[in-house]
Amino acid sequence: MTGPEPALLLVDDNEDNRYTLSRRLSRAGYTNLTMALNGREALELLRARPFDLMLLDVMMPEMNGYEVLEALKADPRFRNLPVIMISALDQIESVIRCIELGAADYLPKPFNPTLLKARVGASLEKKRLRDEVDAYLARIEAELAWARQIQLDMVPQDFPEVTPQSAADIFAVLQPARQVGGDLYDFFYRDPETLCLVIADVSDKGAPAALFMARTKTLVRLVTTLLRTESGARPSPSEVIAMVNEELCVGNGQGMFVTLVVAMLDLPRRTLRYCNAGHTHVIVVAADGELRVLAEGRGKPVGILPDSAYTTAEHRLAPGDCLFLYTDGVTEAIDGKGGFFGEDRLQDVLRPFAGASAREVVEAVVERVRAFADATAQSDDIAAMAVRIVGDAPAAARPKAPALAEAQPVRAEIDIRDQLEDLPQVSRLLDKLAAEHHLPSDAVADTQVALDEVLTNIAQYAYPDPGDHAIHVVFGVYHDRVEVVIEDGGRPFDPLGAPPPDRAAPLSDRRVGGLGIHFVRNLMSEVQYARVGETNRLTLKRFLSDRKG
Amino acid sequence: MDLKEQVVGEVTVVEVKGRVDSSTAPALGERLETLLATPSQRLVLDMRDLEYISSAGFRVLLLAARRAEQAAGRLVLCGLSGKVRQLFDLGGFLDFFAISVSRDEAVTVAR
Repeated sequence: MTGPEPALLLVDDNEDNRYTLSRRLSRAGYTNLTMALNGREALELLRARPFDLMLLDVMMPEMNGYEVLEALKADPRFRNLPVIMISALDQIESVIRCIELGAADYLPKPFNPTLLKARVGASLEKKRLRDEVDAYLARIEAELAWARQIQLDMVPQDFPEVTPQSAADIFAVLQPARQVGGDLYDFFYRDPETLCLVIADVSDKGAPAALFMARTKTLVRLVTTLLRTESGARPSPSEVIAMVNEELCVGNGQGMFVTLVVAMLDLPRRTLRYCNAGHTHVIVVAADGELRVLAEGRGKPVGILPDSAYTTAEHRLAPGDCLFLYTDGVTEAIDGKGGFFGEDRLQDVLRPFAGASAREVVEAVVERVRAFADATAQSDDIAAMAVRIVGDAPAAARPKAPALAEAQPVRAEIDIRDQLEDLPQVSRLLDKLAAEHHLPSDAVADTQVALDEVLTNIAQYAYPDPGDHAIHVVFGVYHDRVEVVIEDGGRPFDPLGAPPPDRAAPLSDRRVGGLGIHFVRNLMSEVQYARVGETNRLTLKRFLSDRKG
Repeated sequence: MDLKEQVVGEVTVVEVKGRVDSSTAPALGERLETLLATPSQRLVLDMRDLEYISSAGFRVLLLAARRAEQAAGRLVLCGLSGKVRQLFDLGGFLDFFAISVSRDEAVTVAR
């Protein structure tokens, strides 16, 4: 409800009708009444402040009842507003048309006080319940968005910059299918020479999996870094997994389990020791384009059986070799026809990226999986991590770098609140990137306008409540294009599905609403929308050579 | 965004410089609203130094045009070039507003 007194909007061009109806409504206890003489006036009032119920006449000059209903239907802000049509008893045909257009009910003229009271009361009650449900959903969404951030913060996201002196080049992504999920990657140095790598997948999705994921992550780290075995030595990967297994079998009444790989990379000796508890195989992309699947050191998933046996396997790496660790959200991504992405396809994607940076490898896989699943909602959590042994590969073995690897893209990201006053921060970041990389002003202006449209839209319409919500913006500057990925956790909204503005309409009738989206679609070279879990992800691409318009 | 005003006879010329987007459009809107509160206001918007304008800016211009119409005033735009002209074209606004090529012509038309 908009206040203690429900706010009613009465739309009728006939003064007698307005008078009679308002008298009857006041007598029925509804005193917060506003009048409009036609549809246009009614819509202006509705846009200015909230109402709980509209009583609407069908035949009116300027803008009739049908047109009002169509306008309400087109605007998500009025989704919950009930409309009761006012009509003469012989107009049943037009009443039916109005109900089809979304009206909640109708009141026949002449007005009967009992009927009036009953129908207004019923519609208001329905509205109150719908508002409550919306508020409840908004609260849950806000909590989940918060949980998602906590979960994403749990895995390391600062990837060490690669210099000729560094030993390893690391990159990883975590993409829960819903707000939160059960996939996990982790990397850390146990000591200056040993890089520990973890990838894991909890046997479920959503909040239960996320809690188990947090438990697993903490356990693996603590066992790896703090524990000593009976002989006083540091635990090997299989010993880490065995201890984590004992711990996760306790207090696990829900029977959840985790598949995981724990690997320790001895950097000076370029030796990988690993143990795989029921997880997908680690793939080594050698610098010469050869792929090797590390299929040894297998054991049961953890959390099922105490005292399970695990073994550690060893693999020698060469400079330029890249380890690829992933969860089955990659290989089990489903396309529109129900087909799986599959391991063969994954290997085909990896092969040409021999010698490429860890970031390029991971991004190529994620991009191909996204393109494969396309319109299909992401069905499973995805985690992927690549670790490349830095150092020169033997000259003969060095592969031809794929086109994508030619120029390293530059990334910059920023989180803002969905408030108009935060938008200039994004615009300033783009200006900074444009100055640093000498981007053409034409492309920058187009991207600025498109960003302003998209962010304004999110700030104004994405959330039903006015509180603060995060918008995540990632810029990518490539040699041939600028890319912007905008993510928000608001209600699902695909700007590509919105209709184009009516450019032929007279000035007074024009709604600027659709214009922003029209700009985005026409100024950008490519626009892609995806609903990923509970997140809207909009990708804008502007090629630098594009001469639009 | 930066606004610079100059009075040429009975015509007020407002130079709109920089960027008109969701964060600057409200200031432009307020200024135009104030100017157009004077009945029969003659107004020229010179957009020579405008970098770009987003839909939030167009919303303000549409409102100003309506205001001018209601108050028997005049609103003429000039100095649309490059990117700005492209945006007007894209939005279908080129034949919507009175648009002159030069500022002198705009002042004559507005008078």
